[in-house]
Amino acid sequence: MNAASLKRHYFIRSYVLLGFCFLLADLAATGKLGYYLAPRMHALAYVTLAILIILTGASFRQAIMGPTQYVCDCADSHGVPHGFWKSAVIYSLFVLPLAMSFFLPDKILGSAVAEKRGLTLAAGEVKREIALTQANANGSSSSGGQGQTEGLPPTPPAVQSKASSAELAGKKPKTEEDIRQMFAEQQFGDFYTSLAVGFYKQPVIQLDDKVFLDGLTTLELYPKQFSGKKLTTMGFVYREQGMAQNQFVTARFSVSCCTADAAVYGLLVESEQGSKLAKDSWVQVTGTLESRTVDDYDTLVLKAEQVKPVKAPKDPYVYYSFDTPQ
Amino acid sequence: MLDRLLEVKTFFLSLLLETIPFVLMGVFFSALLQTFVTPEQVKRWTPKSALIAIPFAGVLGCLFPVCECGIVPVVRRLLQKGMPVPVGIVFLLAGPVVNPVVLASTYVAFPRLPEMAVNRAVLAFLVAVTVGIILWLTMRKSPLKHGVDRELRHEEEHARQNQGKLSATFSHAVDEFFDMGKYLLFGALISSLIQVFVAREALLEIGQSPLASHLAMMGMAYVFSLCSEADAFIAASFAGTFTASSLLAFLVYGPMVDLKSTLMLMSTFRFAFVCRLIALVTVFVLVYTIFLPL
Repeated sequence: MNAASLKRHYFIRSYVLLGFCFLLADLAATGKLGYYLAPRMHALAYVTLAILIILTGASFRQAIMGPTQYVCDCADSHGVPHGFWKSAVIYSLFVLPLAMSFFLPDKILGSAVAEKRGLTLAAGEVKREIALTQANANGSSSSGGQGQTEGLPPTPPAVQSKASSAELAGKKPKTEEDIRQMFAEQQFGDFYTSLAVGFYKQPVIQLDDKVFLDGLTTLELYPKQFSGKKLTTMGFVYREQGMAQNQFVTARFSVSCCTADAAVYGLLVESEQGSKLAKDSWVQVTGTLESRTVDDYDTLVLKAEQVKPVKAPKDPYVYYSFDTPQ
Repeated sequence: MLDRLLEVKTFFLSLLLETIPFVLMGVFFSALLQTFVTPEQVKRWTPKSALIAIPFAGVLGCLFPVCECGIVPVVRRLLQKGMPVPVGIVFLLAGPVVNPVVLASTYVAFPRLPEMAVNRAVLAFLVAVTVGIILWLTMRKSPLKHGVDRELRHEEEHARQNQGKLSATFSHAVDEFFDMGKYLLFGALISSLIQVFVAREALLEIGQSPLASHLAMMGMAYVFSLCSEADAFIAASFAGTFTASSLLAFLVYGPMVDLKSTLMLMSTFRFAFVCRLIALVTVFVLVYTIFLPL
């Protein structure tokens, strides 16, 4: 390979690197980094940008100074592709993300991806793990569809909560102590107990971005206790096959590192105007929670009283809190 | 159709943005090894007996928490510095799992099953060591791709010539970035295409018998190419549908081999060796997760 051709390769590489710098800088400047990475990864992206800028500089230097920098007869082994077509394929692979980024609009994930992923109705992760350990203890593997709740074996807490719901019907707990006692009974740990107590004391439960995932888990852990409470939440409209006309889900994607690991969570809503809402449109729903028993499994449905179309939030995803006390 | 394309873009870019920092880290770590560590030192630090060296490599990740995207350039460099191939491969397989960062995130993802993190580490260690021992017993010739050996030796020469020259380190980092990058990009692109066009259920519908569900979870781990730091959260989202042992298969298999790392391995190792490695890992992850009482 002659020096001119090698130089050309170095220039192409330099411009590709420069492109990546612009891509990252652009995402960071416009705040769109959040469409691709969870906040805890953002710092890493900034470091990457700094390193890429240095590499771009080094690459341009190499391109301009030429291979003379190395006094050796080994130009062939500097990892540049050989032949026109091979080079064309490899460099277009590098240009592809740049082109996509600059010419295609950014899109937040919606129903189409949710369908591929399978929805998790209410983040009953904790409850399911209990169910799972139970299933393992019984020596049977739990069967089921696509991460749906229907396939679950009846969970032991359900039995327990029936007892406490009878109690609940008798007398409403008044003092903080009573409330805490009511939730602590089921032993889901201090974290969920505290969240549940906090929720219970709110006149209208605010299931907002910050507590979305943990909040859903909490609700799902104590379906009987929260039945009849008012709640307001926000999400995009998502429907799945088998849902009734008036049903939809206010769904959110959770992202733990990048959107490739996104998972869908949401609360099932029933509303008169449910069928009129366009899928993927964002709504704020206020209503009353109602406990249902589906296949021996207690679940909560939000009977909507008010459905208000809203603008998509600036940060469409919700995140796990990593400092969650265990 | 345009919407699908936009989704491909979202997944593709986000996989890249997540992975490139770690690849760069690996590249720089490898450059540091290149500059500061001599082959004699690697030989001296690696225990003489393979039976000690192999388990030692299995826990090396605790000292160097590198994830699966960063580990290929690092192992490649260590091999060139004289680390025996089976030992390097054990580090390659176990490093991305048996390390504090990954285990911490696994612990957070499964708040109710703290033993998940421990089991994951133990299994990964066992699989890596088994594969390492088999390679140690059976391998005759160098698995490095034709030319890689020469290339690495050649880089060494440059390093000696340009000792202390920062610019030379950076130029080599650029070379390595493009070398690894093309495989990474291709892997990420395929993975995002599959994620957009193939439903998860397609993999899940394979079956519910232990063998089928383990294979389904491993297939998913392979295709999704998630970072070993994040995959525990995805595994947790399957907790209702799959048994703990098939989730473990997902958590152990994914960081060892996946679509994007397969392609990166091919940049360094012979095709036949990569196939053999994947086959060995697949078999042992399956066998251990099904039959070990975890």
